[in-house]
Amino acid sequence: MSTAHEHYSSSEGTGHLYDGGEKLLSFAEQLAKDCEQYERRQKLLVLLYASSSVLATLAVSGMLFLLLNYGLAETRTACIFLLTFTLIMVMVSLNLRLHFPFAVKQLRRDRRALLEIADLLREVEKALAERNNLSVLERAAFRIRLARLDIGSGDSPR
Amino acid sequence: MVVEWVGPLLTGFKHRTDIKELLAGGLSLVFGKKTEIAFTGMQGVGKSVLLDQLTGKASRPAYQPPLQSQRLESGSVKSGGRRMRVGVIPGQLAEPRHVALDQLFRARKPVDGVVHLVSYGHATSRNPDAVDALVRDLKINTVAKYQKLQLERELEDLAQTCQAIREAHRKARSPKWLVVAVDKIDLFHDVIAKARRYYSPDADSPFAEQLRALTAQVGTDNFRWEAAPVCGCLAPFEWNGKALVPQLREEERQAYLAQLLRLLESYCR
Repeated sequence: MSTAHEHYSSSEGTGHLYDGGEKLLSFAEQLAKDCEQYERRQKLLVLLYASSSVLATLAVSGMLFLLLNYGLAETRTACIFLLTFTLIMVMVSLNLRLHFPFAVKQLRRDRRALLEIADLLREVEKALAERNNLSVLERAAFRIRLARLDIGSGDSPR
Repeated sequence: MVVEWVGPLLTGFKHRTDIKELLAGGLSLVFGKKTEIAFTGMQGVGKSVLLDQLTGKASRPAYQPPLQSQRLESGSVKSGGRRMRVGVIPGQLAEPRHVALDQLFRARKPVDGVVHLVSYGHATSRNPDAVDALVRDLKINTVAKYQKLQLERELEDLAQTCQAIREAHRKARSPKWLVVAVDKIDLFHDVIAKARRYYSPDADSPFAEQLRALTAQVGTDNFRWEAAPVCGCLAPFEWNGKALVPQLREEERQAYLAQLLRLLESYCR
């Protein structure tokens, strides 16, 4: 039985179809990897955002505590330090807040593409394998790689 | 004070499965035994739609047919004093399917029965790009070719279900029965005799052959199967411009559904 790669070299008509499927699968795998990275990045952004907000709040509270209890004259240096720290934390929070929608958008975009490709490949996998006379092992490899991808095509109303 | 509660809570958590079983056993005594059923079948055969029909969800106003299942779905069916807990295994070759198969077939107590859905090659292709690729690139341009392809995919899917049943039997001698629910009969009611010849236990088809092999492996005393026609919903089918219209009336569809329900009740005794 000829394999897909042999077929590709001998018959462009069907071989390029398998090649297309293979390319799509590799692309989907890359997208899956990217999605994982975006997810991790998104979680990190949320964590940093929450931490910087809490730190800014604590710094403001500390500054108020010092001012109310000891007055500006005695705590001038500490207050300047806390104020600077608060400003830095606020800047960091705002920066993260601005970046967050982009990260979400990127993740959503890539995930949608990934699910579309996975859906498409699952539907055509059998026909593709038959038309290209894939060996049992080649088909199994393709199916196993396909099974690693996510499921679904958008938000289910259920 | 808090420390006193930690011990019993930890013990309870450690034996949570036993507690759950004890509760389930108590409830079974009061309300009758609940039969666990798995709905299997390839993508697009109408498993979720049939579940909605059996649970009564489909008769609610403004009901929308479900999209692709993304995880194990479940529902309760009550009929003729029988309680059935149905779990629908996603048809797509992906991780959620394997997780669902593990949950229903490889757990300590596997399901009692299986309803394996097929559609005589009329499974719905939901992805328009896949439809285009099949028609244009892969030359699956007639309904007959599409049906042939889907029948082959059905066989592959059945092989996976048979494998899961075999594993469950090795572990817990369950599930005891399988009903092949031949769905979407509204689309091929004119050739239903042919479909019956393909799916029935005494048929000379690769499908029946696989199930006969399974029965031989797990033992005829431990496992039985039969096929029953059903129609989840009346919907047209279109492939490359050729349309198949439903050949059943709504009351006939309801009758087929009731017939399947009665069959499931008989297995739940």
